[in-house]
Formats: sequence, C-alpha cells, structure tokens
Amino acid sequence: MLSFQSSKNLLSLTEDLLVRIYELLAAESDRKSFRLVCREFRRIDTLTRRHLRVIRIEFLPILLRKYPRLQSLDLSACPRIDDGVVSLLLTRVGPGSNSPILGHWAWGLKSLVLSRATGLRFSGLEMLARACPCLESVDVSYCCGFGDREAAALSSAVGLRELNMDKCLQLTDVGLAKIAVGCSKLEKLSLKWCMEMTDLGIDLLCKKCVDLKYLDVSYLKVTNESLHSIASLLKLEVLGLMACPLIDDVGLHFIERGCPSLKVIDVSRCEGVSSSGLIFVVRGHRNLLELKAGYCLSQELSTALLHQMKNLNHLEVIRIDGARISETSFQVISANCKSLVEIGLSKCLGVTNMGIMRLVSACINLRVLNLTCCHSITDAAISAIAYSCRSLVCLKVESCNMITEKGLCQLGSFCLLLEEIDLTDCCGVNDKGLEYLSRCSELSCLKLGLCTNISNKGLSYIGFNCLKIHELDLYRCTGIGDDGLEALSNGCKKLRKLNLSYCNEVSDRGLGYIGRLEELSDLEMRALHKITGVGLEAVAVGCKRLADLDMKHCEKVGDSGFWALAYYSKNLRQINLSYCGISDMALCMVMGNLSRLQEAKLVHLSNCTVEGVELALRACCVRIKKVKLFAPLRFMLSSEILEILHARGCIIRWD
Amino acid sequence: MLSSKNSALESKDNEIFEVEESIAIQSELIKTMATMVNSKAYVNERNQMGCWKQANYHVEQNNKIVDEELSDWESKFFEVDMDDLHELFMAANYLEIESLLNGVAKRVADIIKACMNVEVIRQTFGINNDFAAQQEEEIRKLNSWNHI
Repeated sequence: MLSFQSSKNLLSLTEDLLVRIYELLAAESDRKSFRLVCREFRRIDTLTRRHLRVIRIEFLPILLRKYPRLQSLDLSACPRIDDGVVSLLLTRVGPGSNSPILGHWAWGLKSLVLSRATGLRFSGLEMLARACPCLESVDVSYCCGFGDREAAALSSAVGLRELNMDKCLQLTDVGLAKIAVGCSKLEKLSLKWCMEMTDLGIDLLCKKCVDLKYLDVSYLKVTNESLHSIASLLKLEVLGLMACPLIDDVGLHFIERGCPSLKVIDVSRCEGVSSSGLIFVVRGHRNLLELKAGYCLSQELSTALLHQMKNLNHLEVIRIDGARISETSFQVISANCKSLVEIGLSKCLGVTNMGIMRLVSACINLRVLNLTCCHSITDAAISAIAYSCRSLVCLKVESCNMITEKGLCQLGSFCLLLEEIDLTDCCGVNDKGLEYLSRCSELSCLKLGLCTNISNKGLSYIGFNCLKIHELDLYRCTGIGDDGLEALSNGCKKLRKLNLSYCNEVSDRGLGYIGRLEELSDLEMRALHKITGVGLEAVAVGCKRLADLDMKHCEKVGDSGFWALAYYSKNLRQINLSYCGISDMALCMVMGNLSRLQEAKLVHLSNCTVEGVELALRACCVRIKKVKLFAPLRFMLSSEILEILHARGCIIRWD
Repeated sequence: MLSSKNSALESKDNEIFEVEESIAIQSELIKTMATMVNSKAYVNERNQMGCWKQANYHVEQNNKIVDEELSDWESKFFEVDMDDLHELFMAANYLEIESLLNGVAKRVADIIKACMNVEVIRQTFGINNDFAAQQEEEIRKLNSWNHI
C-alpha cells in the first residue's frame, strides 16, 4: 500500500485538489497535523483558514500575520485585550520599515466576537471598525462598561448586519441613535439588560433600521409606546420581550396589526401580560411559529385565547410555564397544533396523565418536552410519550416523583434519539431504571440530582453504554462512590461537566478516576469529607482543561493538593475555595500562578491570616474580576488593596 | 465520435471505450468536448476504466448527494495503492468528474486521519520535511496552545 516514488506523491497535485482534501479534515487535531507535514501543506492551511478563536493573547499578532484570509475572529477568550493591543495589531510592527503591515488581516473580516472584552474602549473599537470594511457581525455582549462612545465607534461600520450589545450597561438612547443612523442595514440587534434604554431610542431605531428581522429588548424598562414603534417593522420575524416590566396587553394590541412577518415572540415573565394580550398577538399572526409566554399567565388560558389558538396550525414551539391548564386546553392544542416540536409546561397546574397522553398522541414530532414539577405525572404518561414521540431529544421531568423504572424502560426502548433528560429529585429512579435508560446511547446531558436511590451499579450502566455524555449531575446522590466513578471514567471520555457535591462516599481513589477525564472543564465537588490533597492533585494533573472548580467545604484537603492546582491547572477561570483548609502560601501560589483566573470565592479560609489574603489579592489584582471574601475582612484588609481592586474594575462581594 | 446512446472514447493508449452517454457526460470535459470535433482526451487506459466504473455507480445511485461516510462500494473501490490513487485523482481532475474527485479526496483525508502522527503522514505519501528546525518548532508551539 505504501509507495515512495517521489514523482507521484501528493505534492504534485494542484493547489485546489490539496484544498479539497484539507477541507475534508474537520477535526482541529487533524488540521494541526496537516500543518506540520511540509511547507506546502502549511501554506494550504494558511490560505484556507476562515475562522480563528484565540485563547492566548500572546500569539495573536503571529496568528493574524499567518492567516490573511480570515472571515471570522473570536477574541472573547482573551480577557486582556485592550485598545493598546488593537493598535498594535493594526499597524506596522517591528524595528525596521521592512516589517509587513499586520492590518491586512482585517480587510476580509466579516465577523468579530469581543464578548466580555472589558478592557476594550471606544478608541480600540473605532480602530477596528475603520480597519474592517467588510464587517457584518459584531458581538460586544457583557462588556459592561460600554456606553454611547463605544456605540458611536461601532456605528462607523456601515455594513453591519448583526449586533449584540447585551449587558452594555451604559448604553443610552443617544448611543442607540448613533447606531441606528450609521448602520441602517442592521438586521439583527440584541439589547438585553441595556437598562438605560427608553422608548425614544427604540422609536428612532424602528424608523431608521427598517430591515430589522430580529430584535431583543428583554429586561428593558420600555413601555407600550415602544411596541407601537416596533409594530412598524415590516420585516421583523423574532421579537424578544422577556421580563419587560412595563409592557402589558395594551402594548400587545399594537402588535396585532403590525409586524406582518412575525414568527417568534417571547413575552415570558412579563407581569402585565395576560390571556387578552396573547389573543391580540395570535389573532394577528396565524403563521406564528413560536409562542413563548412562560410565567406570565397566572390564571387559566381563557376560552377566547384557546379559540384563537385553533388557528395556529404551524406552531412549532409553545411555552406556557406556570399557567393553569385545563382539559380543554389539551384538547384544543392537540387538535390544532400538530406541528409542535417543543412544549413547555414547567410548573403548570392541572397537568394530568390524560392530558399528556392526548397531547403526545397528536404531536408525534415532539422533540422537546418540559414537565418540570408536574407532580401528577406517572409512568403511564411517560410510556405514552415514549411510544408516540420517537424523535424525542429532550425531556425534563424534575420533581415528578411518581416516575419509576417502568417509565424509564419505555424511554429506553423507544426514544433512542434522546440526548437530554432531567430527572432531578425523581426519587423513584433506581439502578434498574438507569439500566433501562442507558439504552439511549445518544444521551449527552443527564441530571440525577437528589436521586438518592441510585448506587454505583446504576452509574456503571451509564458508564458502559452512554459514551457521548457531556454533562452529569449527581448532586447529593449519596449512594454514589468510587466504584461508580471508575465505571464513569472508563466509558464517558467526553465528560465536560460533573457535579458530585455531597456525594460523601467519594474518596481520593474516586478522584483518581476523575483525573482520567481529559475533557473535564467544570467540576463541582462540595463537602466531600473524605478527599485529601492526593485526590485534588490527581484531578489537577489529569484534567488539563479544568476551567471551573467548586470545592467549598472540602475541609480535609491539604496544601499538597493546592500546590498541584497552582502548578497544573493553567486553564482555571473560576474557583470556589470557601471553607477549605488552604494555607497562606498555597493561597498566594494559587492566586498568583493561575494566569487565567478571573473569579474566586474565598470565604472563611480558617488557615489563612489577613496578611496572607492580602498578599494573595495583590498577586492577582491585575486580572481578577470578581472575588467573594469573608465579611469581617472588609475592615481588616488595607484600604490600599481594596482601592487597587476597585480601580481595576474588580467586583468584591462580602459574605 | 458520439452515437445516439453510447459514446466511443479513445484513451491515450489507443483503447476504445464504449460508454453510455448519460455516464459520459458526468465528466465536464467530455461534455464540453462533445461539441468539438477531433478532440482527444489524454488519460491512460486503466484509470479511464476506473473513472467510468465510478461514474456508472453514481448514475445508478441517481446522483445522490454525497454524504460524509464513503459507502461500502466506494471504500472497496478506493482500496488501491498510492500510485493508483494518485492517477485516479489526476484523471478525475482532468476529466472534471465532480463525484469522483470528492470520493478520492475523502479517501485521502481518511488516510490522513488514520495516521497516528505527522511522521507517518509523511511516510505514507512520500513527502519530505522541508521545514527548518526553528519553523517546525514554532508551529508545534502554536499548535500546543489549542487555538481553534
């Protein structure tokens, strides 16, 4: 099979053929190998790369120089990006005048993700907007300090189609006006939590950006007047109004005759909205695809609303969490909304087995079903769901404690596409039930919190069969111990998120098995009284991608574990060490060495002195963003360190 | 040299192939050349046979959209040594048969995926490492920092 004739090797193929091969290598590890083979292959990699997500800011200039044809750049994982860095990237770099211009990477750039880049300010943004003439999509969400000047900087990107400014807390109507005037081609805009927005800003936006298809004003204190303005958007398809306190039925009346293209509306948690308001929406939009009205209907769905809903034949998603459901509601929905793919009935009153059975026998294409806290549901309903809805992907039945292994047996037999199931607080789940459930080999998210009747045996079935699991919640599953974790680590190699809090039987041996899970990034292990430094060391050494660690109340863990953490866990971003026995030195090492640490909870460290905590805070003050400290320390720490932290934008919470 | 149903194609080695027209036009080149007079395609015999076999298979499959995994038939078809694979690739490129190009490219990509490391890739395809030590080191360093 091997041939070494150099005249006929792969390199004699033309460039487009090599590009064809390269594009079929989807996995990043394969592309990395490809890059290393020879110069020609590296050149192909360079030419073809369109998307880049950078984690280490030190490599940014080199990478940008290498990849001149980028279309999409994601810098959200580089927390220290600031105006100085941007300036560096866009201008000549290097001692001589022969150095290449770095800025040409920006010429073709279409998409820029700068989420959480809190160090960036308007001058940096302005440079970026000017340097990238093809820019179409920008994400500056969670840049909490961003305001009107930043918005003005962004408005110079006239080709902008998509903009995400969630949680840009300082943004006001003035800034929004600049964007509305400058970026008139805007199609998608998200302004969640931009609390300074008022009706004036929304009104101007709707007058200027007539091509808007997607608008999210959730949580804003806008009034019905905004809905009057929004109603004029002829192309609007998706409208987000979640938890808007000042919106009510009167405002929704404007939507009835407006927004002719509306397909998706979310009025969850709007206290002023009732059945009447929903009637207006439904009456005007028979082609509605998604209706999300969770936690706003405290009474029953009125007969008038149900009557209107008979016309929603294309409805795919309905969420009426927290409402009171009657038999009539089930009848109307099952008779008329057969295209439903997602149904949300979390915390609804009146959900019965009969109702569910009627619903699922009609909605056979159901993929997502949320029955959290529908306590009357039993195995009969689960069986009906399993039998009718073979395409089911996500099932949430938290607190439905009458479900037993009989229901899970049906799920394991029929719903083989199931990926996510939430069985938190379902005390009827036992090892037999897990054996049946493990037949769903596509499972990727499994929540078994508070299921006290499961043991290592049940977990071993999961470890054997459910190899695609990403997330596993075993909160307070006191029957789980080291043997269960052994089975888990053997099979579930893709596990990323694991919760073992209060699983008291877990010891260092169990953590040794956890150390084998190379993909693990999120680990919660509160109050594990048997583990010591040895166990923590195993996790630190093995789980190289660990980013979030919560070990509150793990009092027996000694310094050897913390030293290992400080040395190995370079990807750690968040840590909770409250009530742990860490010493001053180890705390200083952890806070100082872990260069990506951004959030730390350090309440009640009994082995630490005030000076020790102060030193640790000084060691990390450059990059730490949020820290939680023991309340009495407020008066014991020097005012200097508190000022430094405050000046750096670090949020301190006192407990 | 086209008849109503079958087209007769002459290869470089002067072998004549009778190929059904619907299959022949899978090749963009033949399709174009059919309109020209006195045209000749320069592809050697063995690979032309292979190309038409592949094209035939695809027409039979009604030009289904090629999906991620190579089907069983195709896997066996591409189980040839590097030289042949290379020839097939060149032939498919010259004759411009899209489905065949995809198939061969996939096969090569699969071979690369199956290789344990870079050295094995180089050996399999007979490629020399033309990096300077420093360059190679730089790339390895960038690779190890997991940028995506």
